[in-house]
Amino acid sequence: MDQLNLLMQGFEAALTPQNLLWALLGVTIGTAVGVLPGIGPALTVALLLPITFRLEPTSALILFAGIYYGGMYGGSTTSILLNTPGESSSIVSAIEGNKMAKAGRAAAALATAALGSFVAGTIGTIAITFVAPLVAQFAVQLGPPEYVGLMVIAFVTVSALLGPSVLKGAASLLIGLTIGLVGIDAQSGQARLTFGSNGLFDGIDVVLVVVGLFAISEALGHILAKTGRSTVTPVKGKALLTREEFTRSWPAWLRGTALGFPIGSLPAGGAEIPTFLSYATEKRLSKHKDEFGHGAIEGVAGPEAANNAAAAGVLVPLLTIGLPTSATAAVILTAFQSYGLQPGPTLFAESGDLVWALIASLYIGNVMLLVLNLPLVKVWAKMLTIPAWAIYAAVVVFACLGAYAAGGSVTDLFLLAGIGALGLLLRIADIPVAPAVVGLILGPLLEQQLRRALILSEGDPMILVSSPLTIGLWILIVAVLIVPGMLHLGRRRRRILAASTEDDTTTGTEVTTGRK
Amino acid sequence: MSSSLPRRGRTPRGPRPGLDTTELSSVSNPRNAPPSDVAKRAGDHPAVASGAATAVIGVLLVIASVIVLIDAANLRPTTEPLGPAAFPTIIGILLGLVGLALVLFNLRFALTLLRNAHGAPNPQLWRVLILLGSIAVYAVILPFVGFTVTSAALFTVGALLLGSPHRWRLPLYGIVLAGLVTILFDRIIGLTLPAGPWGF
Repeated sequence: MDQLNLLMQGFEAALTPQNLLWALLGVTIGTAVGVLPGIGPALTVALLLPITFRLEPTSALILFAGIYYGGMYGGSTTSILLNTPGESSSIVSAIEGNKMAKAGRAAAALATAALGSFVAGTIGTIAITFVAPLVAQFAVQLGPPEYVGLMVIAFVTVSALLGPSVLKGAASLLIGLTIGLVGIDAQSGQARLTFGSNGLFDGIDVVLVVVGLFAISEALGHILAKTGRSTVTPVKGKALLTREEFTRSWPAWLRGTALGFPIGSLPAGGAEIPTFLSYATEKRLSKHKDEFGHGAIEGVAGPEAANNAAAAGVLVPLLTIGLPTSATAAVILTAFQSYGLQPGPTLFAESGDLVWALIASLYIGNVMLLVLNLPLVKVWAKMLTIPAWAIYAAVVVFACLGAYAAGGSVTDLFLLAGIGALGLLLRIADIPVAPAVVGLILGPLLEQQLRRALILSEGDPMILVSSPLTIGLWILIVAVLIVPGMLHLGRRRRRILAASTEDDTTTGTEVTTGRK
Repeated sequence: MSSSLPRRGRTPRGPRPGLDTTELSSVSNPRNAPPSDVAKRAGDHPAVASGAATAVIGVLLVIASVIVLIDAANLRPTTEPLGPAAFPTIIGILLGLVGLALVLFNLRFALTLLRNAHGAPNPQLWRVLILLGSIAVYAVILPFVGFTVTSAALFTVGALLLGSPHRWRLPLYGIVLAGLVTILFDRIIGLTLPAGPWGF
């Protein structure tokens, strides 16, 4: 039980008063930004990157991990109360959860979401503790050709699964890859796509791209849609479950976790898939099938647990292979890089203390989040009564602060405005922005691995399919692109969405009266 | 379309059902007919707006593809197996292909929108441009006026553009927000924010 010893050391490091404070700050900020619609953990971590570079790496990463987990908890609160899921992975909890909220059972929905998140988050973290070192041991054998295959898999799945169509996902990914090209080429020292501007030699900062695509475009979207004055009426009642609700919830939590963690920890994108699978499973197994579509508690408990377990799972490929499969994970990878750490198999060997302190902080963060979210859920829900104009005007100010802190020049703010305009266009076009963030951050790494592979083979591209593993990976890539298996998932997802929106048209009046 | 028909039927002085106009020449030659109400509001239709925006993105990708390929072609080749131009070239080609596909699949939405583009554009569009312009102005005056005052002004402009019902209270909110940020990040955390002539 080598892991347990290491974990205990991790707890020693994470339980210092200072690091506990960072964890508490992280989960609090995380929950807050998760609750505020349109401001997610990816944006928050990006905004904090330039501000926290003075911190110790361990403290900063504990803070970011807290924001990551907290964002998942807070996101479910908003999707249940407002029916505006902030991330694609909380779409499903919005379906049944919002129905429950409209039927006056918001408190029960929030309670099952918070408890489910806790159960799934804790089991997920236990799984990370035991799975991650094994994956890291295995990943030591991976060479550049295998990395190329894994990264292309991540690209293909992220584009195929995170949007309405493969083409739109691919467009987003390519935008990210193109932005990633800008700057001095590390190997040859030549400037690419800088157009002679000195400001672009270092490349376009990840912070600018994430803040522009998420924050500025969100504010612009609210201006365009004239939703600046909308607020929501707060919840009543206590976030407690009755005995019946509890007995209906806990099997769903466990099933959701069992679906979420393995799928989330695959080096392929799409944390939302397990939530859809969980919803379908609960619907099939439930004794209360008639309640689905009208606020079935299993339909909140299962997908919410799946969502959080998948979020924990995403950390496995991130920490052990250095492969982020969601926008937030990609930004956290940048955080590691900014401290000179490269997530991957060597991370466990070289910075074991830091990794184990981080994993220990996940356990602690989950407990803190349960305390923050069960008794205090009404306080968070009150945040939704802040009018949208105040939230997004403040978001614009923070976005400019973050952009200025990241680059420190006027050019950076011009770029921010430009990227924000691009983000608005993508938003209108229903093109997801998450693949762009993943492409931006993984693109340069892919080029690096591709170069290493070709140097090994002295220029022979066949090295990319030289081992059984790489051949398997490329077959998988082709399969994802061609075989309609993904279409099947897409269809199921669209069917669930269609069913939920059909119901919405009948109850649409309630939604409009709820907002002022 | 079905939802608009009964509504039109109910208006007493409106055109007869099935006809969008009293212009009789349009009965013999449908080309003379003005666009229907539905077509006029085509831009309000999410699918049309989304499709047209997708087509625009497609055009942008094709332009980006040309720029990336030209830029890659101008790089000096090296002795490495994978030179600096190889990866951008792959991305450039993919940009072109995906961009063309997006344009082809969404051209009809863009054309629908263009054909029916008369009258003033969405007034909210001006507000979007004003906010983008404000960020540019913010960038220019930040070094001279200092973080606190510029940020308070940006907050005020942003809130007004977002449709805040308040007017005179906003600068106050802005000053409080920007002041708190300055105290927290500049004075406590030690991030050096640009100071104006008055030192904050």
